[in-house]
Amino acid sequence: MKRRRSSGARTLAAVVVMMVFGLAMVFFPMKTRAVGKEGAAKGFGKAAASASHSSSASASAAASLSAAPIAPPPPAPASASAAGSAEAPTIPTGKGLPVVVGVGVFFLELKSFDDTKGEFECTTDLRFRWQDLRLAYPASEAYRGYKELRGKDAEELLAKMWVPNVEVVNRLESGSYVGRRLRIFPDGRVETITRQTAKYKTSVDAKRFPFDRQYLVLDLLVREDTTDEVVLQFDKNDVAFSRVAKIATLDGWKPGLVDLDGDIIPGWNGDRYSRVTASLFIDRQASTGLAPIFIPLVASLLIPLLAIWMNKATEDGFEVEAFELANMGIGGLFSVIALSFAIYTSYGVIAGGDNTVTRLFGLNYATLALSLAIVVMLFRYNLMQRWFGRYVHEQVFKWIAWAMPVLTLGTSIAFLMVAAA
Amino acid sequence: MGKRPAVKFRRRAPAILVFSSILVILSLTAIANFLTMRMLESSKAANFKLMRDVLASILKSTEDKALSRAEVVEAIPAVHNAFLAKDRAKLLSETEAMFKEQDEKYGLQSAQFHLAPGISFLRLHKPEAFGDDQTSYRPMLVDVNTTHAVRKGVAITKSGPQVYGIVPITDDAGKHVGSFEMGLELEPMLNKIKEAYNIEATAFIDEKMLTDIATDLKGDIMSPKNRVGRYIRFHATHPEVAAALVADKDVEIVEPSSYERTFAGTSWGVQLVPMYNYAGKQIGVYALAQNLADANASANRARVWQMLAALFGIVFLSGMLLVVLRGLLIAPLAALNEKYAALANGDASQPADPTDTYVEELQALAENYEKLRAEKSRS
Repeated sequence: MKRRRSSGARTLAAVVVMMVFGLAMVFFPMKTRAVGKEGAAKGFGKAAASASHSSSASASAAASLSAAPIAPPPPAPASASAAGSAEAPTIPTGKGLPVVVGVGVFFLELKSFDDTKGEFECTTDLRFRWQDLRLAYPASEAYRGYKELRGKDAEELLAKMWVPNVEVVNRLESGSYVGRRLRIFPDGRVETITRQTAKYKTSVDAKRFPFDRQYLVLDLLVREDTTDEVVLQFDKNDVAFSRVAKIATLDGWKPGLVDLDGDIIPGWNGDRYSRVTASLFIDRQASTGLAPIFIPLVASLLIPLLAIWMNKATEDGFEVEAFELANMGIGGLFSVIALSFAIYTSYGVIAGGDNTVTRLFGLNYATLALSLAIVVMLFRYNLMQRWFGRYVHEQVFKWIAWAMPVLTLGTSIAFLMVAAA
Repeated sequence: MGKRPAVKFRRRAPAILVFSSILVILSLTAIANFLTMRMLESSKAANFKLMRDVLASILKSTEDKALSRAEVVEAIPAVHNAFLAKDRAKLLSETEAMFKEQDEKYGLQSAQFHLAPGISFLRLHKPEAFGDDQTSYRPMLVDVNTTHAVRKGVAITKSGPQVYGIVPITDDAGKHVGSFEMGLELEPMLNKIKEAYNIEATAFIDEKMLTDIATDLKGDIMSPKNRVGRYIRFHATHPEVAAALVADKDVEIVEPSSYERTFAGTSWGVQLVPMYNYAGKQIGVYALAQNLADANASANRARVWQMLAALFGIVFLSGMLLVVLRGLLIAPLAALNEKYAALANGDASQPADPTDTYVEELQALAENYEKLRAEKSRS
């Protein structure tokens, strides 16, 4: 009778533990994946103003742009404006073909990054430089060394001159504000900077979650003109221009460097098109995933271990009835299913593929399956005792009692270390 | 002489066997780790060699370009004849457009005609400056005008450091009269390394030489922010990376050297190569940097898996040893021993466990115990 009461108390304790885990997993506050920025203090105006404190030329240019008149209607793309004019401007051949267009991208503000959808929103300064000898003029006419036009004036002139038809192919949607500045140098060099807030698509690789690095990419591609006519390139000035503003922040992420990479895209009949990608890498702050994901995941690993630890080997077999421990294992299984549902719903990016979280879930299921197998074979049918006698049976149970936690913990740590490597 | 204390087999034997097993597994893991590290180091060494080979190849290619263009231009009859006639104006009119085109498109920074042994006759990049004797600081030029053979290499001139190709010019009678050179910028050459191999490339040039010789150098190159030790960071495909990876002490080299450094969470392999001029004097340093993050991450992952495999090995082997030794030998023997002790003290009430509980070797002992117990019970 006494043993029965003891088993009942254990069952009750196990049920309470599982309920606590279950409730914690279901109602654990999951952080939304759309990292948003709040507060007008970090808005565009302030970002631009702060950028003006930067010592570099590009940052100064960015700051000056913030004071530029805002063109209310969003301007048409460069190519469209060119095509729409009465006399379509022709490609400049003064320096021969192809026309070399220098590309630089300055990330002024990072507004959000939704790694579940693979989308990010940011404000960028996109700079193109090329030379059109038809636009050359006497140096005496440019007291600052160049002529500069902004807003509407710039748009009007851009509509009349040739501009490269470069498309940001991964842009999803853009904001209403587009600021544009145009500089023309006496020798015909042209420089345009377009400031735009837009949303872009990017691929997300969560294999190393939560120690992963993602890339916010602007994919620039020349449309219509093949590499025989226009090529995108970048020199050290473009590389120096291409960076992220020091004031730019993104919740849960640490911005790094901007890398420019040139490429050629094949087209029809052997045509080739020039492409440049500007990618800003951002490192996830690993601590953000610790509380909502990894603590419940590791905690849920304790459930199958508890099913082993709560029993005790006796001369006749085991102290606790197998069905009570099996109940515990089944409860643990439902807890893990609930946890996986909760995590995958909130963190869609880790739901598919191979990553630390899916591996830890796999470990959870494997441990549960193993504990249930132990409960059935060892506790229910006493197979070890039947096959090898009670002494072996005792030793096997003792070994399982320490080996399972050691291997489970070791494997969990290994998964995390592999991700952090 | 005292009696030596008996060894406790039930404690010592499992401990020794488990310890030996752990030692063997850890040794094997350490060897596997060592081999992984060796492979990684070997891979990195190959990477560094590749960087040096890429630099050497592109440098040679640039030198060849400079030389071949110089030979082509010098061979144009109108140009050749204008130089022989020492008609500077005609020579300029024949070559001016060509130079401008080459400058804009292909990074041709300078082109110059010299009269032997090294007097500037016409600088296409600066026609108004001529007549200066360059023999004091242009050993390659002197060599061409002395040996009458083509030469190529890196040199610092008034225009800055460039890759030169110089060809001798002879008159119709075969008499040496001067030379023609073309100088290509370092920037396109380093940019090509970046474009083709994704290797960040930087050129550091001796500051004193730049100050003394490259007097026509334009721009803000000679600024404190570009100063690295006694060198000036003349050109970098990624200035931010170059500034972080190559510091004052690093750049002080006289032979190729390599190292690893982490910047912005990324591990970079840096290869430094001395830059020599034609006379074999070191005038600067090339720095090449390649992202090694993937290689390091792969090696680290391999190490983690090896350690996990070792842990599994230790746990399973220890478990088997403990279960076999204790479960089949030590624990049954201890139980039998207790029963024998009780029997010796006259207690014949404790039966042995069923025979099939014991291994074959202990079954005889258990059977003998039962015989003794039966005899004791009868008596």
